[in-house]
Amino acid sequence: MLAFVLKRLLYGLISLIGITFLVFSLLYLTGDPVQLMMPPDATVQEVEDARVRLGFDQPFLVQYFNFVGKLARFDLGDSLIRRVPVSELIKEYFPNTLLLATTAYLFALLVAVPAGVFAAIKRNSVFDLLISMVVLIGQAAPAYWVALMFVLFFSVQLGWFPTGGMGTFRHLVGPALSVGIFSMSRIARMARSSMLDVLRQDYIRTAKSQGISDRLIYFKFALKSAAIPIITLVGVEYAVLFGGSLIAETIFSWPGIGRLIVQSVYARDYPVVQGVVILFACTVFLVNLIVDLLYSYLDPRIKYGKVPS
Amino acid sequence: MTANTTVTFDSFSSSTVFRTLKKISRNLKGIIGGSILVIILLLALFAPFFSPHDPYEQNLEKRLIPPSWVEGGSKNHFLGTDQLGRDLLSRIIYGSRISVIVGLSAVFIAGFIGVTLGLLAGYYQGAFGAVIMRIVDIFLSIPYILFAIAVIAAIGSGLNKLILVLALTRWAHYARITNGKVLQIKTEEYIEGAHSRGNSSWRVMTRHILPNAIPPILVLASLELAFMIIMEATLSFLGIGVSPPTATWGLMSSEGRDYLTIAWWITTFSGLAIVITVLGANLFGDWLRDNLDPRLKGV
Repeated sequence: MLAFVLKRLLYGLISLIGITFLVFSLLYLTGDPVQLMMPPDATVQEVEDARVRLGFDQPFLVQYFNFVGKLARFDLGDSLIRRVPVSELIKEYFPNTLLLATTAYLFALLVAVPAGVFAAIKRNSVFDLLISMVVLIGQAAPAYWVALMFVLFFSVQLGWFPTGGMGTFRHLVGPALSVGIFSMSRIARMARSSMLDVLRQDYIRTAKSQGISDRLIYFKFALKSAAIPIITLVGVEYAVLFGGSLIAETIFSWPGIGRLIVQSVYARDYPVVQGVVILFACTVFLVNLIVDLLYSYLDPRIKYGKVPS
Repeated sequence: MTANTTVTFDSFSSSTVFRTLKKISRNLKGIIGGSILVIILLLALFAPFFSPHDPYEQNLEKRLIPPSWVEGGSKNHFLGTDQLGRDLLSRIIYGSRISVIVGLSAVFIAGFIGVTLGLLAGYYQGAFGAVIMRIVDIFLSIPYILFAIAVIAAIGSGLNKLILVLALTRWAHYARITNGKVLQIKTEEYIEGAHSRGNSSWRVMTRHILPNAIPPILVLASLELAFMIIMEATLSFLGIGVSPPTATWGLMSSEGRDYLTIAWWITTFSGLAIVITVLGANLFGDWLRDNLDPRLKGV
């Protein structure tokens, strides 16, 4: 187990180094931001001095190693526009995104898993059909459109929820719904198909023939096996949720990291873009590690560190 | 009596009508999805023929006319007009062109890169394969919208660049699936046989391994088509995809956003066009998966 965790951490570290290199090279390509930071009436000499002072005159690899060296000390550099350390910005905005993504996630899970499982138990019922329809549409609708339709119906027409901002629970509903609906559909679908798959297995039939109650069979035996593919997807979906939060934050003016990165891209504030992308990648990596560890709990047949026969 | 009923039932169940009905219901997803895709393709190909108006013709006197069935609507403009008085239906029909072009080309380029690298990595394995698959892992762990935005920030926007960015964002998915399939096929006896008959590595890869790896790749491609269409719309919506005044569904939703309270139809219908198209691609992809590769079900 320990060997497995260490191996995963090593792989994760290699991936993270790769990501920093990729992100750094990409943003290096956008060109030198010094011109943008200086007042419009700055002289050529002033611009040149600033370039040397900020290290933008150095060769590519030198700049990259400086960047990684600072990163190892959790120094993400300073925002070029806002003139504060990127780590400060992240400290300020990240909790808001975490709140939004986690709410969306809980919402997706709490609705999707029971809905999918129930649809599988009551296969071919009206409820099953209804779930399938919602799932199909939920997977086909772009997040921004769901968000705008929410604003149109629930904020503008009915006036139930605010159109944007942060504060009360009601501010959270719209963004969380538009972030979560895609994942909800995918998880519901997976929960349904995975549950159907398990219910077909021999041991479930045996359990039934022994007179064990349906409830026990469904919720103890079947659900535990069905949970494995669901959990895998749940890990993947967390990354998707972060992507979706970018759209929802922009539409609902939610002061989170997604909106921050969109604004920073427009402003070419690249230390911020770098910092946020790396932060996202770390979060996704951590979630996936937790998911991997959950497997071994759910399915004792999966043993890490040993090669499966 | 019982025997008689059975005979009637048998003759009915084996009748062509019954079998056809059964076939249709079993392939309903494919039929609906395929029809939607064909219709969208035809609309894109013959947009000038189907559009009632010029999608770029502005007429400020006719701005923000509601759909024809709503009070104040005009029979001339079935889905109403936008903020510049352009006919919404015509713009939606023309918008299908961008979705089709971007979707198909991005899927093709991403597939080409991913399948090639996945095939090579799976066939040669070793250090080369390991490096390729590590790169694949890196690409898979970056949130895709974030990555696309970062690339666009670096190279700029525009139709061709957008296609390239989308392909770059998604090639790793093809590489992973191809790689897994190749590793599995490689151990089959017929591959060993192909080698022992003196076939070159290239020939074994392209003639023996690749054709057997095609089904899951095809399934992925059809589902990715849906994804690419959503991505194009999303990036255009954020203002970093296709630039105005081009008629694209994402851009139209974005323009309509400012008029959401007084002209709901612009955003609503341009978004519905995406929902229907993506629904078609998803249904078709599901059907392909059920028929080509049942093991992938639910992935």
